[in-house]
Amino acid sequence: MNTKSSLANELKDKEYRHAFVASQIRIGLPLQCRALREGRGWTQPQLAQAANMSQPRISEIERPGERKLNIETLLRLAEAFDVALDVRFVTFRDLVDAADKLDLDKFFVNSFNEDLADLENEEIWAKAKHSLSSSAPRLKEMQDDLSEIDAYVLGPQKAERMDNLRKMPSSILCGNTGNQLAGEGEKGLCA
Amino acid sequence: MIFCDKVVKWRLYEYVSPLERHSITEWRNGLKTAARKADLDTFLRIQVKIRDWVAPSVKPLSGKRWKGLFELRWKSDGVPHRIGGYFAAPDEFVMLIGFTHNANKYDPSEALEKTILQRKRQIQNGEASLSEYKVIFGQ
Repeated sequence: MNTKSSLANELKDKEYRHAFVASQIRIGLPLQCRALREGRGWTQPQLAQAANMSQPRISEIERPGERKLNIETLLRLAEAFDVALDVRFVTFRDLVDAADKLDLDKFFVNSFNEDLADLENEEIWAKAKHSLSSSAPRLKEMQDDLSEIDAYVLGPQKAERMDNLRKMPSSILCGNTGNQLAGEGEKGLCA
Repeated sequence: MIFCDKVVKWRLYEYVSPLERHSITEWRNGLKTAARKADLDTFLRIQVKIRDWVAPSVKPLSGKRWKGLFELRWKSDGVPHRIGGYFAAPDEFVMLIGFTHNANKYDPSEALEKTILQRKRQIQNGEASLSEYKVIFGQ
């Protein structure tokens, strides 16, 4: 919250700031409820059925300021949407910041199953990352081992030997001598 | 105002009378209780962040005389509160008058019958002007 903002100025009045808190519930929650329902592609009757309420009651709940929403009603709606409900005491600053950041066009609260799937995906990814990072030293060791084997098998004069082989006539190369050379690791030159 | 530029999708304007009276600001400041002021502020603060304005928060006024006019709707202290106006552009709403109504009684009484139509006409004729309404934010 910006202390110079017009809202901060209004909140200096105690009556207003407590009315502001109430308005987040009376005005803000109905609009959130509608956004949640529309986000799931539900009609009012569908939400009514899920919450075990009548459709006219849902219609009332979604009208800003129409009715006082009690905790029981909110809990039933939370259960219908399968989302959590967070009721707690906070600073005015936190409340104002949350209200400012709320963007109903992007407002979507995952249901438990969607939340769980996200969580599981995050865990799988975290494990994969951990596994990769813990494998890195071993991979480096294996790479070093392979380099050593390569050097041992092919020898330090590999390039020179390859040049000599290329200069030889193919008839010699593919004869006994060539086969002996090829047997040392240069197969494929006769192909 | 970086935050607002990102999230706010609507610009609100209010009718300013030939005597330079800001219709919505004055109506808001004259509301009877802090609760009504806070509800109005919260309603507009959320509404300007919603791309699609749909019922029940926004409805067209019914009747030929009011064609093209809409009302923003919420209830405060058990009383229906309305702001009447029209869309000036896809993301601009002009607020002409704020009023309440209970059991078909409007306050002010001629809000719909006379004032809203008169004000719209005055703006079209250039007799009155518009001013951007500053929605109350914390940032």
